[in-house]
Amino acid sequence: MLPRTSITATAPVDSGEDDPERQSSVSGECVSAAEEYPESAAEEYPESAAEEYPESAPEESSGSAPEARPDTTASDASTGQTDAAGDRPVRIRASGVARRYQSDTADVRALEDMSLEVTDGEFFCLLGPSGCGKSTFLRLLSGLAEPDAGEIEIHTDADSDRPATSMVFQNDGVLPWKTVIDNVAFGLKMRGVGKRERYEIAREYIEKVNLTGFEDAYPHQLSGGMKQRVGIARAFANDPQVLLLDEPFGELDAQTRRYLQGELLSLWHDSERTVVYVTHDIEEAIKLGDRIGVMGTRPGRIKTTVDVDLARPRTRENLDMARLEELKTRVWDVLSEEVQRSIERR
Amino acid sequence: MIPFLRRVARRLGTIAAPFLVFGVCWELASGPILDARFFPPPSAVLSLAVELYLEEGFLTHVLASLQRILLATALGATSGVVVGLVAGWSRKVGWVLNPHLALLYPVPKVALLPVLFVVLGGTEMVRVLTMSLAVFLLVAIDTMGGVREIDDVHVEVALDNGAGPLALYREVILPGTLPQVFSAVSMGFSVGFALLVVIEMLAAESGLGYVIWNSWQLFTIPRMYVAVLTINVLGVVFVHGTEMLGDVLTPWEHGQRR
Amino acid sequence: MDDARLYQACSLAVSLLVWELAVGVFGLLSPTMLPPPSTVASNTAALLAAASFRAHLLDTVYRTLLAAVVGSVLGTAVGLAMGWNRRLKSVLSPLAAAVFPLPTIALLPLVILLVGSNQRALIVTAALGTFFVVLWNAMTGARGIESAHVDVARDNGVTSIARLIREVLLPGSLPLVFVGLRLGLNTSLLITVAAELVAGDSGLGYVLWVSWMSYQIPDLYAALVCASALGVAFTYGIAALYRVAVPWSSDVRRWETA
Repeated sequence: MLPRTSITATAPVDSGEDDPERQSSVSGECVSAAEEYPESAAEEYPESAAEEYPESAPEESSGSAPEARPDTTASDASTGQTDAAGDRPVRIRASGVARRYQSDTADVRALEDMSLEVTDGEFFCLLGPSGCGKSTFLRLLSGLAEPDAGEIEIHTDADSDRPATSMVFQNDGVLPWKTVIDNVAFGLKMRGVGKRERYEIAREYIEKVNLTGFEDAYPHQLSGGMKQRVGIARAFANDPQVLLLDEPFGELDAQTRRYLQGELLSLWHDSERTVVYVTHDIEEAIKLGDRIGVMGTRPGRIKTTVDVDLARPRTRENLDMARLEELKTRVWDVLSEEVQRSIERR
Repeated sequence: MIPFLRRVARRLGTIAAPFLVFGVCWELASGPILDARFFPPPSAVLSLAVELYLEEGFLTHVLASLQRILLATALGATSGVVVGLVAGWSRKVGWVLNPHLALLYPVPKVALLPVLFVVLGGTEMVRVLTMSLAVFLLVAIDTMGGVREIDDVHVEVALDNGAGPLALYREVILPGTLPQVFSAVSMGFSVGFALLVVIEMLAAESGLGYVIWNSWQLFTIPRMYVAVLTINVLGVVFVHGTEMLGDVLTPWEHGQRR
Repeated sequence: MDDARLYQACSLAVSLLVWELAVGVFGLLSPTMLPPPSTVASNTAALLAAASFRAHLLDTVYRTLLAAVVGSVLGTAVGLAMGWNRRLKSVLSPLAAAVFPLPTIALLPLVILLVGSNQRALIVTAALGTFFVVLWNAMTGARGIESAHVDVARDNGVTSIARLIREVLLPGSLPLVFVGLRLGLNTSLLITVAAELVAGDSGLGYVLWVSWMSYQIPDLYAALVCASALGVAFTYGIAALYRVAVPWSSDVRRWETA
């Protein structure tokens, strides 16, 4: 079977075992990321949600189970053919994870009692309103921050020097002083891969994300969409066992976003990799994910898990629109309450 | 090729034109409007400059000034970058060093000069040390600020890709602060030149500052102009040259600042 | 935050204590050349009580402020005009770029010849230096005032130029003006002290020179302390003023830490 890498913490991480400076600065970043988060996505979310689901949401919600909204219904309703947990091993297991941070005014519980399982090869979407701690959770998975309590296990393959995780950042995840090819090859360089070999691998992924010809360009010469493709190419070039994406297309225009979603799906399909994808866009989550973990706000935790039983590839012709609308409604039901709460809190 | 050359020529033209106009006006005004004793015509200054540059005596002064400014800037900039990088990254070192830097930074450095001379003696080393102290403060504070301004995301990217502390410095912190370092060294040169002139006026027997002072006392005004002009040219070369070098060495910055 | 304050205060206190102990108690350094901080403090206090020393201090303050105000106002006006008017900029910016690295103190003998009186020459030199530094800063900063804000104002019915200036351009350029003020005051102080050292017959720079030549160590340190205190007061005073006058600025925090 698979050996385990596990990150466990039951006490606050202040002990600072290895390198106190680095430790403190990393957790500092986590705080700032969480702080700045509400601002960046705050206005965007309720608007886009309201526009995308104008009338249909309330009507349909009364049609499906109105009372039994929390926790169980959704996963019960759609456990059918796609529940892969039986035949595939669990890749990520989080149980009782908590994380808090100190803001200027108060002690904020970013995550509390957060538990989930992601199976091998699954495309798992974490969906939630801004400030629900979904990005924080991703940082815990990546090891950039450590949980205050609870346990995160990522099962890694034996005899493999592949990294456990690699992250695609929300924005500015490319280093401005490195050319495209050096950005893509960065993780390989850090792992001591020789120049010729890492450039070869980097070129392969640069081609896969359609950036051939831009190898020697600096990021400031690229558009936002192209920069995100560099980030994606780097994450794939690292060949991680789990790919983490933190709202990678959140700041792009709708057309570019749709295009890159398709590109990401085909890369994922070719590599059969486990993906955890953080987003606040319901439609994006449904179009991309095998399963959606819908999160609630402060303290952040999974409220419901929804199986997306739409056949792949989910192209326009192939897509079961009626089912898509149904899923949207179901997710929106759970989410709207949370959005309401998070807006009122502000 | 031809259009490129033409563009370069036009650019040089737009830069040179104001100087030409200014020079011609001065040339014409010197005598009829301006007192030629205080404002000798540029032609006279330039011909004297050629004469002096061919003389060994004047060149010794130029070399003395050059040696001082280069030594002081090299010392101050290197130590400033090292201290700035450490104090910017480590919060605790920052806490210890910051109040000292913040207190010393606004001190008019020329005021330190007599004190250092009294305490350490009026040697060449003390002259250079005073200048390098000023450069050091500028570079250390700007480098520290540069490190603090590095985007958290870029640090996270490096950590997520498996960078250790050393690689983090090499791949993120250093390139991230490089633009600030260059602009600080450029500023350091301009502060260094100011101190250089004062030091040479007051407490040296060589250098361009000494020539200015000496020419004033001997009332050889054209020679003073040549010394001022030489300092100005050196200043332009080092201050703007450092900026340009920075632009060349940090090609990823182009277009970001504008 | 409080942690940081504590660290910073402690680190300064420790440095002073080490100095005090090294000189005063263990006698590692000669107390006549480098008196311990307690002696420096008491000497300075004693001198500040004397009217003659206070007169020197006031002279320096007066010159610095006058030169800073004249230089900053002119520098900001010309710099902003250059930033907003393309043609003016293409003519003047090469000249400004060429003069910027020239230490103004090198022009002091010339200014003395022109102005006649030493007292006025000091102020003119300091104002000249301030002018160029502030001009450079204002020119590069003028672009930072967003044209989008002008559009917003126009769209909301601001039609007259006077109102546009009051509602958008003036508040928009305030941060720039403050940076210019801080820069101007410190440049002015530096040049004033330098000029007094070189050619003054009063002021802190003059005190520094006299006490250096006659080895009057208490006066020497008192003058250094006062000049430093002026620099610190200007820098942090302007920062405090900035926080009050420009509460909307996002780099208020940067000013606090800088």
